[in-house]
Amino acid sequence: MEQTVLEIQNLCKNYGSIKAVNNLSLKVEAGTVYGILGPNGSGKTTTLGILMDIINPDSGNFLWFGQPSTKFQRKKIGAIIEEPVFYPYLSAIRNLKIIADIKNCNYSEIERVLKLVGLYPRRFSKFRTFSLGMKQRLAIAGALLGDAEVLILDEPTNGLDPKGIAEIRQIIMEIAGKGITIIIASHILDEVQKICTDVAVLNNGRKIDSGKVSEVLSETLLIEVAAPEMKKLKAAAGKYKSVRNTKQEADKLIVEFSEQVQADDFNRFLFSEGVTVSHLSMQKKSLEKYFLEVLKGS
Amino acid sequence: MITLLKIELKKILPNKTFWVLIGLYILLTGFILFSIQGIVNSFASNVSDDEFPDMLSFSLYRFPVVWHNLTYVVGFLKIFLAVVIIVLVTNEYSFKTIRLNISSGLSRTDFVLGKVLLTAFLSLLAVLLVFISGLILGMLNTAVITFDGIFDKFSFLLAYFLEIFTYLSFAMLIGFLLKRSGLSIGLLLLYGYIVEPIAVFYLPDHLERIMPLESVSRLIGLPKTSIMKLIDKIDFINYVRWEDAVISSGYALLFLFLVFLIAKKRDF
Ligand SMILES: Nc1ncnc2c1ncn2[C@@H]1O[C@H](COP(=O)(O)OP(=O)(O)OP(=O)(O)O)[C@@H](O)[C@H]1O
Ligand SMILES: [Mg+2]
Repeated sequence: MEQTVLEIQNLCKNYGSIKAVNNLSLKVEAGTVYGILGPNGSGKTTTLGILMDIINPDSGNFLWFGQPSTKFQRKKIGAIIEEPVFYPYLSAIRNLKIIADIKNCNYSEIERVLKLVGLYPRRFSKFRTFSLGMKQRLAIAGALLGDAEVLILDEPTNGLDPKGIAEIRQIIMEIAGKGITIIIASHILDEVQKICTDVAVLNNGRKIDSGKVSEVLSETLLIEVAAPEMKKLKAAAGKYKSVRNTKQEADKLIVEFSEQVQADDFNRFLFSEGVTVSHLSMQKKSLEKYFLEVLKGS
Repeated sequence: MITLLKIELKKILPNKTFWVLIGLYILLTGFILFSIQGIVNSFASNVSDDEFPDMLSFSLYRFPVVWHNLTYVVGFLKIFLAVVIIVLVTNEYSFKTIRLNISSGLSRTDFVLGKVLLTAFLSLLAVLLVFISGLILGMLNTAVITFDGIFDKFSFLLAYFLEIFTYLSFAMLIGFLLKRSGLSIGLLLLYGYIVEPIAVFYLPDHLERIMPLESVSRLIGLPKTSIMKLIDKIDFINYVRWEDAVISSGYALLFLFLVFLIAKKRDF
Protein backbone atom coordinates (compact mmCIF):
# COMPACT_ATOMS: atom_id res chain seq x y z
CA MET A 1 0.00 0.00 0.00
CA GLU A 2 1.29 3.41 -0.90
CA GLN A 3 1.07 5.84 1.93
CA THR A 4 0.55 9.53 1.37
CA VAL A 5 3.26 11.47 3.16
CA LEU A 6 2.11 14.94 2.26
CA GLU A 7 -1.06 16.35 0.85
CA ILE A 8 -1.37 20.04 0.04
CA GLN A 9 -4.86 21.40 -0.58
CA ASN A 10 -5.54 24.76 -2.24
CA LEU A 11 -2.64 26.53 -0.60
CA CYS A 12 -2.41 30.31 -1.14
CA LYS A 13 0.05 32.94 -0.03
CA ASN A 14 0.12 36.52 -1.26
CA TYR A 15 2.73 39.16 -0.70
CA GLY A 16 0.80 42.31 -1.49
CA SER A 17 -0.32 41.86 -5.07
CA ILE A 18 2.17 39.06 -5.72
CA LYS A 19 0.60 35.63 -5.62
CA ALA A 20 3.61 33.71 -4.34
CA VAL A 21 1.61 30.49 -3.98
CA ASN A 22 -1.62 30.31 -5.92
CA ASN A 23 -4.14 27.61 -5.09
CA LEU A 24 -1.55 24.86 -4.99
CA SER A 25 -2.59 21.26 -4.44
CA LEU A 26 -0.37 18.20 -4.63
CA LYS A 27 0.27 14.82 -3.11
CA VAL A 28 3.55 13.17 -2.23
CA GLU A 29 3.59 9.41 -1.77
CA ALA A 30 5.97 7.59 0.55
CA GLY A 31 9.30 6.57 -0.92
CA THR A 32 9.25 8.98 -3.84
CA VAL A 33 11.77 11.63 -4.68
CA TYR A 34 9.42 14.48 -5.40
CA GLY A 35 10.68 17.43 -7.36
CA ILE A 36 9.13 20.86 -7.20
CA LEU A 37 10.38 22.42 -10.38
CA GLY A 38 9.97 26.07 -11.22
CA PRO A 39 11.88 29.16 -12.28
CA ASN A 40 13.10 31.80 -9.81
CA GLY A 41 10.23 33.38 -7.95
CA SER A 42 7.75 30.62 -8.78
CA GLY A 43 6.92 30.02 -5.11
CA LYS A 44 9.02 26.96 -4.27
CA THR A 45 10.65 28.37 -1.15
CA THR A 46 7.40 29.95 -0.01
CA THR A 47 5.63 26.60 -0.33
CA LEU A 48 8.32 24.73 1.61
CA GLY A 49 8.36 27.49 4.25
CA ILE A 50 4.64 27.07 4.77
CA LEU A 51 5.06 23.31 5.12
CA MET A 52 7.53 23.85 7.96
CA ASP A 53 5.50 26.57 9.76
CA ILE A 54 8.07 29.22 8.96
CA ILE A 55 5.56 31.09 6.82
CA ASN A 56 1.85 31.45 7.57
CA PRO A 57 -0.36 30.64 4.58
CA ASP A 58 -3.28 32.93 3.70
CA SER A 59 -5.59 30.01 3.00
CA GLY A 60 -5.61 26.33 2.19
CA ASN A 61 -4.08 23.59 4.25
CA PHE A 62 -1.74 20.66 4.21
CA LEU A 63 -1.57 17.30 5.90
CA TRP A 64 1.58 15.48 6.93
CA PHE A 65 0.97 11.73 7.18
CA GLY A 66 -2.74 12.48 6.91
CA GLN A 67 -2.76 14.78 9.94
CA PRO A 68 -2.79 18.55 10.34
CA SER A 69 0.71 19.88 10.96
CA THR A 70 2.23 19.94 14.46
CA LYS A 71 5.68 20.41 15.91
CA PHE A 72 5.84 16.68 16.64
CA GLN A 73 5.54 15.90 12.95
CA ARG A 74 8.29 18.38 12.15
CA LYS A 75 10.65 16.42 14.39
CA LYS A 76 10.27 13.57 11.87
CA ILE A 77 10.88 15.85 8.89
CA GLY A 78 14.29 17.21 8.05
CA ALA A 79 14.20 20.46 6.12
CA ILE A 80 16.63 22.86 4.53
CA ILE A 81 14.79 25.94 3.38
CA GLU A 82 16.48 28.40 1.03
CA GLU A 83 19.96 27.99 2.51
CA PRO A 84 21.76 26.12 5.28
CA VAL A 85 21.27 28.00 8.55
CA PHE A 86 23.22 27.33 11.72
CA TYR A 87 24.78 29.33 14.55
CA PRO A 88 27.96 30.54 12.85
CA TYR A 89 30.03 30.75 16.04
CA LEU A 90 29.24 27.15 17.05
CA SER A 91 31.09 24.07 15.86
CA ALA A 92 29.37 21.55 13.59
CA ILE A 93 28.87 19.18 16.47
CA ARG A 94 27.45 21.82 18.83
CA ASN A 95 25.00 22.93 16.15
CA LEU A 96 23.86 19.35 15.63
CA LYS A 97 23.47 18.88 19.39
CA ILE A 98 21.02 21.76 19.45
CA ILE A 99 18.97 20.12 16.69
CA ALA A 100 19.18 16.79 18.49
CA ASP A 101 17.85 18.46 21.65
CA ILE A 102 14.97 20.00 19.73
CA LYS A 103 14.12 16.68 18.09
CA ASN A 104 14.64 14.79 21.37
CA CYS A 105 17.03 12.38 19.72
CA ASN A 106 20.14 10.73 21.00
CA TYR A 107 23.54 12.41 20.51
CA SER A 108 24.90 9.09 19.29
CA GLU A 109 23.10 9.75 15.97
CA ILE A 110 25.28 12.77 15.36
CA GLU A 111 28.35 10.71 14.54
CA ARG A 112 26.37 8.61 12.06
CA VAL A 113 24.96 11.57 10.11
CA LEU A 114 28.28 13.43 10.12
CA LYS A 115 29.97 10.38 8.63
CA LEU A 116 27.20 9.99 6.07
CA VAL A 117 27.84 13.48 4.70
CA GLY A 118 31.60 13.19 5.09
CA LEU A 119 32.03 15.92 7.70
CA TYR A 120 33.09 13.81 10.64
CA PRO A 121 36.74 14.93 10.48
CA ARG A 122 35.59 18.58 10.57
CA ARG A 123 33.11 18.18 13.40
CA PHE A 124 34.91 20.61 15.72
CA SER A 125 35.21 23.40 13.15
CA LYS A 126 32.95 26.39 13.49
CA PHE A 127 30.09 26.58 11.00
CA ARG A 128 31.35 30.03 9.94
CA THR A 129 34.55 28.48 8.61
CA PHE A 130 32.78 26.01 6.33
CA SER A 131 32.68 26.27 2.55
CA LEU A 132 29.27 26.46 0.89
CA GLY A 133 29.39 22.78 -0.01
CA MET A 134 30.27 21.83 3.55
CA LYS A 135 27.45 24.02 4.89
CA GLN A 136 25.03 22.28 2.55
CA ARG A 137 26.28 18.89 3.72
CA LEU A 138 26.02 19.86 7.39
CA ALA A 139 22.47 21.00 6.76
CA ILE A 140 21.66 17.61 5.27
CA ALA A 141 23.23 15.94 8.31
CA GLY A 142 21.07 18.09 10.60
CA ALA A 143 17.98 17.31 8.58
CA LEU A 144 18.61 13.58 8.92
CA LEU A 145 18.78 13.64 12.72
CA GLY A 146 15.93 12.04 14.60
CA ASP A 147 15.44 9.30 12.00
CA ALA A 148 13.76 11.67 9.60
CA GLU A 149 11.15 10.00 7.43
CA VAL A 150 11.00 12.92 5.05
CA LEU A 151 13.70 15.21 3.80
CA ILE A 152 12.92 18.62 2.33
CA LEU A 153 15.70 20.18 0.30
CA ASP A 154 15.47 23.62 -1.26
CA GLU A 155 17.90 23.99 -4.16
CA PRO A 156 20.51 21.84 -2.44
CA THR A 157 23.06 22.24 -5.20
CA ASN A 158 22.67 25.97 -5.64
CA GLY A 159 26.00 27.74 -5.88
CA LEU A 160 28.12 24.59 -5.82
CA ASP A 161 30.80 23.66 -8.30
CA PRO A 162 30.36 20.53 -10.46
CA LYS A 163 32.20 18.37 -7.97
CA GLY A 164 30.12 19.69 -5.10
CA ILE A 165 26.95 19.15 -7.10
CA ALA A 166 27.94 15.56 -7.84
CA GLU A 167 28.70 14.91 -4.15
CA ILE A 168 25.40 16.32 -2.93
CA ARG A 169 23.47 14.35 -5.55
CA GLN A 170 25.34 11.23 -4.51
CA ILE A 171 24.29 11.82 -0.89
CA ILE A 172 20.68 12.44 -1.90
CA MET A 173 20.55 9.23 -3.93
CA GLU A 174 22.02 7.33 -0.99
CA ILE A 175 19.36 8.73 1.35
CA ALA A 176 16.59 8.01 -1.13
CA GLY A 177 17.91 4.44 -1.35
CA LYS A 178 17.08 4.02 2.35
CA GLY A 179 13.43 4.63 1.64
CA ILE A 180 13.31 8.18 2.97
CA THR A 181 10.85 10.34 1.07
CA ILE A 182 12.57 13.36 -0.42
CA ILE A 183 10.96 16.59 -1.53
CA ILE A 184 13.33 18.70 -3.51
CA ALA A 185 12.83 22.18 -4.93
CA SER A 186 14.87 23.08 -7.94
CA HIS A 187 14.93 25.41 -10.90
CA ILE A 188 17.15 23.02 -12.81
CA LEU A 189 15.29 20.74 -15.20
CA ASP A 190 18.22 18.43 -15.62
CA GLU A 191 18.58 17.97 -11.86
CA VAL A 192 14.95 16.99 -11.43
CA GLN A 193 15.18 14.62 -14.38
CA LYS A 194 18.24 12.98 -12.87
CA ILE A 195 17.16 12.48 -9.27
CA CYS A 196 13.39 12.72 -8.98
CA THR A 197 10.73 10.10 -9.54
CA ASP A 198 7.80 12.52 -9.42
CA VAL A 199 7.49 16.19 -10.16
CA ALA A 200 5.19 19.18 -9.84
CA VAL A 201 5.96 22.10 -12.09
CA LEU A 202 5.30 25.56 -10.68
CA ASN A 203 5.08 28.88 -12.39
CA ASN A 204 3.98 32.09 -10.70
CA GLY A 205 2.83 30.11 -7.70
CA ARG A 206 0.60 27.83 -9.76
CA LYS A 207 1.01 24.17 -10.46
CA ILE A 208 1.06 23.85 -14.21
CA ASP A 209 1.73 20.13 -14.39
CA SER A 210 2.54 17.16 -12.21
CA GLY A 211 3.07 13.43 -12.37
CA LYS A 212 5.83 10.92 -12.93
CA VAL A 213 9.03 12.51 -14.15
CA SER A 214 9.16 10.03 -17.03
CA GLU A 215 5.83 11.35 -18.28
CA VAL A 216 5.84 15.01 -17.39
CA LEU A 217 9.38 15.78 -18.42
CA SER A 218 9.83 13.38 -21.30
CA GLU A 219 10.66 14.69 -24.74
CA THR A 220 7.18 14.22 -26.13
CA LEU A 221 5.66 15.81 -29.12
CA LEU A 222 2.40 17.67 -29.35
CA ILE A 223 0.30 18.30 -32.40
CA GLU A 224 -2.41 20.87 -32.30
CA VAL A 225 -5.29 20.10 -34.65
CA ALA A 226 -8.70 21.56 -35.35
CA ALA A 227 -11.53 20.39 -37.56
CA PRO A 228 -15.14 21.44 -38.10
CA GLU A 229 -16.30 18.29 -36.34
CA MET A 230 -14.27 18.15 -33.17
CA LYS A 231 -15.92 15.01 -31.75
CA LYS A 232 -15.13 13.02 -34.84
CA LEU A 233 -11.61 14.41 -34.86
CA LYS A 234 -11.02 13.31 -31.30
CA ALA A 235 -12.26 9.79 -31.95
CA ALA A 236 -10.12 9.48 -35.04
CA ALA A 237 -6.97 10.87 -33.43
CA GLY A 238 -7.29 8.39 -30.58
CA LYS A 239 -6.86 5.54 -33.03
CA TYR A 240 -3.50 6.71 -34.33
CA LYS A 241 -0.40 4.78 -33.23
CA SER A 242 1.60 6.08 -30.23
CA VAL A 243 -0.98 8.65 -29.18
CA ARG A 244 -0.70 8.96 -25.44
CA ASN A 245 -3.26 11.55 -24.68
CA THR A 246 -5.74 13.89 -26.34
CA LYS A 247 -6.99 17.01 -24.75
CA GLN A 248 -9.46 19.58 -25.96
CA GLU A 249 -8.39 23.15 -25.44
CA ALA A 250 -10.78 25.85 -26.62
CA ASP A 251 -11.51 25.02 -30.26
CA LYS A 252 -8.37 22.92 -30.69
CA LEU A 253 -7.37 19.39 -29.89
CA ILE A 254 -3.95 18.81 -28.36
CA VAL A 255 -2.61 15.38 -29.21
CA GLU A 256 0.31 14.05 -27.26
CA PHE A 257 2.57 11.34 -28.70
CA SER A 258 4.93 9.05 -26.91
CA GLU A 259 7.33 9.00 -29.86
CA GLN A 260 8.34 11.03 -32.84
CA VAL A 261 5.70 11.23 -35.58
CA GLN A 262 5.44 12.95 -38.93
CA ALA A 263 2.75 15.61 -39.17
CA ASP A 264 1.89 14.76 -42.78
CA ASP A 265 1.50 11.10 -41.85
CA PHE A 266 -0.85 12.00 -39.02
CA ASN A 267 -2.83 14.30 -41.34
CA ARG A 268 -3.15 11.59 -43.96
CA PHE A 269 -4.35 9.17 -41.27
CA LEU A 270 -7.02 11.59 -40.10
CA PHE A 271 -8.14 12.15 -43.69
CA SER A 272 -8.45 8.40 -44.19
CA GLU A 273 -10.66 8.35 -41.11
CA GLY A 274 -12.90 10.91 -42.78
CA VAL A 275 -11.77 14.00 -40.93
CA THR A 276 -10.77 17.10 -42.79
CA VAL A 277 -8.35 19.12 -40.76
CA SER A 278 -8.75 22.90 -40.74
CA HIS A 279 -5.66 23.58 -38.64
CA LEU A 280 -2.60 21.54 -37.80
CA SER A 281 0.59 22.64 -36.13
CA MET A 282 3.42 20.76 -34.52
CA GLN A 283 4.98 21.85 -31.30
CA LYS A 284 7.06 20.62 -28.47
CA LYS A 285 5.14 20.06 -25.33
CA SER A 286 4.21 23.52 -24.02
CA LEU A 287 5.88 22.89 -20.72
CA GLU A 288 9.04 21.85 -22.46
CA LYS A 289 9.01 24.91 -24.62
CA TYR A 290 8.71 27.06 -21.56
CA PHE A 291 11.38 25.36 -19.55
CA LEU A 292 13.79 24.87 -22.35
CA GLU A 293 13.89 28.61 -22.60
CA VAL A 294 13.69 29.54 -18.95
CA LEU A 295 15.46 26.69 -17.26
CA LYS A 296 17.99 25.17 -19.56
CA GLY A 297 20.01 28.34 -19.55
CA SER A 298 20.65 28.03 -15.82
CA MET B 1 10.67 23.79 29.99
CA ILE B 2 14.05 22.68 31.30
CA THR B 3 14.92 21.40 27.83
CA LEU B 4 14.04 24.76 26.31
CA LEU B 5 16.29 26.60 28.76
CA LYS B 6 19.08 24.06 28.14
CA ILE B 7 18.80 24.65 24.41
CA GLU B 8 19.03 28.40 24.92
CA LEU B 9 22.10 28.02 27.11
CA LYS B 10 23.76 25.74 24.56
CA LYS B 11 23.27 28.43 21.96
CA ILE B 12 24.88 31.18 24.01
CA LEU B 13 27.45 29.73 26.35
CA PRO B 14 30.12 29.39 23.62
CA ASN B 15 29.30 32.90 22.35
CA LYS B 16 32.06 35.46 22.99
CA THR B 17 29.83 38.52 22.81
CA PHE B 18 27.68 36.99 25.51
CA TRP B 19 30.62 36.46 27.83
CA VAL B 20 32.04 39.94 27.24
CA LEU B 21 28.73 41.56 28.15
CA ILE B 22 28.00 39.28 31.09
CA GLY B 23 31.59 39.57 32.36
CA LEU B 24 31.38 43.35 32.17
CA TYR B 25 28.05 43.27 33.98
CA ILE B 26 29.34 41.10 36.80
CA LEU B 27 32.55 43.10 37.21
CA LEU B 28 30.78 46.45 37.26
CA THR B 29 28.09 45.19 39.62
CA GLY B 30 30.67 43.78 42.01
CA PHE B 31 32.79 46.89 41.83
CA ILE B 32 29.90 49.25 42.52
CA LEU B 33 28.41 47.14 45.28
CA PHE B 34 31.66 46.84 47.16
CA SER B 35 32.83 50.41 46.71
CA ILE B 36 29.60 52.41 46.94
CA GLN B 37 29.81 52.98 50.68
CA GLY B 38 33.27 54.48 50.39
CA ILE B 39 32.18 56.67 47.47
CA VAL B 40 29.00 57.90 49.11
CA ASN B 41 30.57 58.59 52.48
CA SER B 42 33.64 60.35 51.11
CA PHE B 43 31.37 62.46 48.94
CA ALA B 44 29.10 63.24 51.88
CA SER B 45 32.01 64.11 54.16
CA ASN B 46 33.66 66.29 51.52
CA VAL B 47 30.55 68.36 51.05
CA SER B 48 30.03 69.13 54.71
CA ASP B 49 32.16 67.89 57.56
CA ASP B 50 29.89 69.23 60.23
CA GLU B 51 27.46 66.83 61.85
CA PHE B 52 28.95 63.94 59.89
CA PRO B 53 26.93 60.98 61.00
CA ASP B 54 28.34 58.09 62.85
CA MET B 55 29.65 55.78 60.16
CA LEU B 56 28.34 52.58 61.56
CA SER B 57 24.82 53.73 62.28
CA PHE B 58 24.60 55.04 58.74
CA SER B 59 26.34 52.15 57.00
CA LEU B 60 24.80 51.39 53.63
CA TYR B 61 25.62 47.76 54.23
CA ARG B 62 23.68 47.23 57.45
CA PHE B 63 21.02 44.52 57.52
CA PRO B 64 18.27 44.99 56.53
CA VAL B 65 18.73 48.29 54.60
CA VAL B 66 21.56 46.68 52.63
CA TRP B 67 18.95 45.09 50.33
CA HIS B 68 17.35 48.40 49.56
CA ASN B 69 20.63 50.23 49.07
CA LEU B 70 22.30 47.62 46.91
CA THR B 71 19.34 46.95 44.65
CA TYR B 72 18.90 50.67 44.19
CA VAL B 73 22.47 51.42 43.30
CA VAL B 74 23.11 48.72 40.67
CA GLY B 75 19.68 48.81 39.03
CA PHE B 76 20.92 50.96 36.17
CA LEU B 77 23.36 48.25 35.04
CA LYS B 78 20.45 46.19 33.73
CA ILE B 79 21.06 47.88 30.39
CA PHE B 80 23.92 45.40 29.88
CA LEU B 81 21.54 42.49 30.31
CA ALA B 82 19.07 44.19 28.01
CA VAL B 83 21.76 44.41 25.33
CA VAL B 84 22.47 40.69 25.85
CA ILE B 85 18.81 39.87 25.32
CA ILE B 86 18.56 42.10 22.27
CA VAL B 87 21.68 40.59 20.71
CA LEU B 88 20.45 37.05 21.34
CA VAL B 89 17.02 37.73 19.89
CA THR B 90 18.19 39.68 16.85
CA ASN B 91 20.93 37.12 16.16
CA GLU B 92 18.20 34.54 15.64
CA TYR B 93 16.86 36.79 12.92
CA SER B 94 20.14 37.79 11.30
CA PHE B 95 21.47 34.22 11.30
CA LYS B 96 17.95 33.05 10.28
CA THR B 97 18.27 30.42 12.98
CA ILE B 98 14.61 30.92 13.96
CA ARG B 99 13.95 28.87 10.84
CA LEU B 100 16.28 26.16 12.07
CA ASN B 101 14.57 26.05 15.46
CA ILE B 102 11.05 25.90 14.12
CA SER B 103 11.67 23.59 11.19
CA SER B 104 13.53 21.22 13.53
CA GLY B 105 10.45 20.90 15.68
CA LEU B 106 9.99 23.76 18.14
CA SER B 107 6.62 25.44 18.00
CA ARG B 108 6.65 29.20 17.67
CA THR B 109 5.48 29.37 21.27
CA ASP B 110 8.32 27.10 22.39
CA PHE B 111 10.79 29.36 20.67
CA VAL B 112 9.59 32.44 22.54
CA LEU B 113 9.21 30.49 25.77
CA GLY B 114 12.90 29.57 25.56
CA LYS B 115 13.77 33.24 25.35
CA VAL B 116 11.44 34.11 28.24
CA LEU B 117 13.06 31.42 30.37
CA LEU B 118 16.45 32.81 29.48
CA THR B 119 15.27 36.28 30.50
CA ALA B 120 14.09 34.91 33.85
CA PHE B 121 17.41 33.09 34.18
CA LEU B 122 19.44 36.28 33.64
CA SER B 123 17.18 38.17 36.05
CA LEU B 124 17.79 35.49 38.66
CA LEU B 125 21.50 35.76 38.03
CA ALA B 126 21.33 39.50 38.69
CA VAL B 127 19.38 38.92 41.91
CA LEU B 128 21.84 36.25 42.99
CA LEU B 129 24.73 38.62 42.45
CA VAL B 130 23.16 41.22 44.74
CA PHE B 131 22.07 38.56 47.21
CA ILE B 132 25.56 37.13 47.64
CA SER B 133 27.20 40.56 47.82
CA GLY B 134 24.53 41.77 50.28
CA LEU B 135 25.02 38.74 52.48
CA ILE B 136 28.79 39.23 52.61
CA LEU B 137 28.61 43.00 53.11
CA GLY B 138 25.78 42.74 55.63
CA MET B 139 27.67 40.17 57.69
CA LEU B 140 30.74 42.38 57.77
CA ASN B 141 28.91 45.59 58.60
CA THR B 142 26.08 44.72 60.92
CA ALA B 143 26.82 44.82 64.65
CA VAL B 144 24.10 42.45 65.80
CA ILE B 145 23.02 39.86 63.25
CA THR B 146 19.63 38.22 63.67
CA PHE B 147 17.68 36.07 61.26
CA ASP B 148 14.86 38.61 61.14
CA GLY B 149 17.38 41.37 60.67
CA ILE B 150 18.67 39.72 57.52
CA PHE B 151 15.40 38.86 55.91
CA ASP B 152 13.39 41.90 56.81
CA LYS B 153 13.26 44.06 53.62
CA PHE B 154 13.84 40.99 51.52
CA SER B 155 11.00 42.27 49.37
CA PHE B 156 13.57 44.52 47.70
CA LEU B 157 15.19 41.47 46.15
CA LEU B 158 11.83 40.37 44.74
CA ALA B 159 11.24 43.88 43.47
CA TYR B 160 14.70 43.81 41.95
CA PHE B 161 13.86 40.61 40.10
CA LEU B 162 10.68 42.21 38.79
CA GLU B 163 12.53 45.38 37.81
CA ILE B 164 15.04 43.45 35.73
CA PHE B 165 12.59 40.93 34.31
CA THR B 166 10.17 43.64 33.14
CA TYR B 167 12.95 45.72 31.67
CA LEU B 168 14.41 42.72 29.83
CA SER B 169 10.95 41.79 28.55
CA PHE B 170 10.73 45.29 27.12
CA ALA B 171 14.13 44.85 25.48
CA MET B 172 13.03 41.50 24.09
CA LEU B 173 9.90 43.04 22.59
CA ILE B 174 12.00 45.70 20.88
CA GLY B 175 14.36 43.01 19.57
CA PHE B 176 11.50 40.96 18.15
CA LEU B 177 9.90 44.04 16.64
CA LEU B 178 12.96 45.50 14.93
CA LYS B 179 14.97 42.31 14.26
CA ARG B 180 18.23 44.27 14.07
CA SER B 181 20.52 44.67 17.04
CA GLY B 182 21.82 48.17 16.36
CA LEU B 183 18.38 49.61 15.76
CA SER B 184 16.93 47.85 18.78
CA ILE B 185 19.64 49.02 21.16
CA GLY B 186 19.29 52.52 19.73
CA LEU B 187 15.55 52.52 20.30
CA LEU B 188 15.93 51.15 23.83
CA LEU B 189 18.39 53.93 24.73
CA LEU B 190 16.38 56.62 22.98
CA TYR B 191 13.18 55.61 24.68
CA GLY B 192 14.66 54.86 28.08
CA TYR B 193 16.92 57.85 28.42
CA ILE B 194 15.22 60.52 26.35
CA VAL B 195 11.62 59.94 25.33
CA GLU B 196 10.22 58.58 28.56
CA PRO B 197 12.12 60.92 30.89
CA ILE B 198 10.80 63.89 28.90
CA ALA B 199 7.28 62.49 28.97
CA VAL B 200 7.58 61.83 32.70
CA PHE B 201 8.80 65.38 33.25
CA TYR B 202 5.63 66.85 31.74
CA LEU B 203 3.11 64.30 33.00
CA PRO B 204 1.22 64.69 36.27
CA ASP B 205 2.27 62.25 38.95
CA HIS B 206 -0.64 59.83 38.65
CA LEU B 207 0.13 59.35 34.93
CA GLU B 208 3.86 59.41 35.38
CA ARG B 209 3.84 56.35 37.57
CA ILE B 210 2.10 54.22 34.96
CA MET B 211 4.70 54.85 32.25
CA PRO B 212 6.41 51.52 31.57
CA LEU B 213 10.02 52.20 32.49
CA GLU B 214 9.12 54.75 35.14
CA SER B 215 6.96 52.16 36.87
CA VAL B 216 9.91 49.80 36.76
CA SER B 217 12.30 52.32 38.27
CA ARG B 218 9.82 53.26 40.98
CA LEU B 219 9.82 49.73 42.32
CA ILE B 220 12.93 50.54 44.31
CA GLY B 221 12.83 54.12 45.52
CA LEU B 222 15.65 56.39 46.60
CA PRO B 223 17.02 55.09 49.91
CA LYS B 224 17.84 57.36 52.85
CA THR B 225 21.59 57.43 53.34
CA SER B 226 24.25 59.74 54.70
CA ILE B 227 24.43 61.65 51.43
CA MET B 228 20.70 62.37 51.45
CA LYS B 229 21.01 65.04 54.05
CA LEU B 230 22.16 67.20 51.13
CA ILE B 231 18.78 66.97 49.54
CA ASP B 232 15.85 68.38 51.42
CA LYS B 233 12.23 67.55 51.32
CA ILE B 234 12.20 64.10 49.81
CA ASP B 235 9.73 61.53 50.96
CA PHE B 236 11.81 58.45 51.39
CA ILE B 237 9.95 55.23 50.95
CA ASN B 238 11.67 52.36 52.64
CA TYR B 239 9.40 49.59 51.37
CA VAL B 240 8.15 48.29 48.01
CA ARG B 241 4.71 49.60 47.15
CA TRP B 242 2.42 46.91 45.88
CA GLU B 243 0.86 49.28 43.29
CA ASP B 244 4.23 49.64 41.62
CA ALA B 245 4.72 45.90 41.66
CA VAL B 246 1.30 45.38 40.07
CA ILE B 247 1.94 47.94 37.34
CA SER B 248 5.36 46.49 36.52
CA SER B 249 4.07 42.93 36.47
CA GLY B 250 1.26 44.08 34.20
CA TYR B 251 3.80 45.55 31.80
CA ALA B 252 5.93 42.40 31.86
CA LEU B 253 2.87 40.35 30.94
CA LEU B 254 1.90 42.81 28.22
CA PHE B 255 5.38 42.82 26.67
CA LEU B 256 5.58 39.04 26.70
CA PHE B 257 2.08 38.71 25.29
CA LEU B 258 3.07 41.00 22.42
CA VAL B 259 6.20 38.94 21.76
CA PHE B 260 4.13 35.74 21.60
CA LEU B 261 1.71 37.50 19.28
CA ILE B 262 4.48 38.66 16.95
CA ALA B 263 5.93 35.15 16.84
CA LYS B 264 2.53 33.70 16.04
CA LYS B 265 1.73 36.10 13.20
CA ARG B 266 5.06 36.69 11.58
CA ASP B 267 6.71 34.97 8.62
CA PHE B 268 10.31 34.09 9.40
N1 LIG C 1 9.06 38.06 2.32
C1 LIG C 1 8.59 38.37 1.10
N2 LIG C 1 8.05 39.58 0.87
C2 LIG C 1 7.57 39.89 -0.34
N3 LIG C 1 7.59 39.06 -1.39
C3 LIG C 1 8.11 37.84 -1.24
C4 LIG C 1 8.64 37.44 0.01
N4 LIG C 1 9.10 36.17 -0.11
C5 LIG C 1 8.87 35.82 -1.39
N5 LIG C 1 8.28 36.81 -2.07
C6 LIG C 1 7.84 36.77 -3.47
O1 LIG C 1 7.11 35.59 -3.66
C7 LIG C 1 7.43 35.00 -4.92
C8 LIG C 1 7.87 33.58 -4.71
O2 LIG C 1 9.12 33.56 -4.07
P1 LIG C 1 9.87 32.23 -3.65
O3 LIG C 1 11.05 32.62 -2.86
O4 LIG C 1 8.91 31.30 -3.05
O5 LIG C 1 10.32 31.68 -5.07
P2 LIG C 1 11.28 30.47 -5.40
O6 LIG C 1 10.53 29.60 -6.33
O7 LIG C 1 11.81 29.87 -4.18
O8 LIG C 1 12.42 31.20 -6.20
P3 LIG C 1 14.01 30.90 -6.27
O9 LIG C 1 14.20 29.86 -7.31
O10 LIG C 1 14.55 32.21 -6.69
O11 LIG C 1 14.45 30.48 -4.92
C9 LIG C 1 8.47 35.90 -5.56
O12 LIG C 1 7.81 36.75 -6.45
C10 LIG C 1 9.02 36.70 -4.41
O13 LIG C 1 9.39 37.98 -4.84
MG1 LIG D 1 13.77 29.63 -3.39
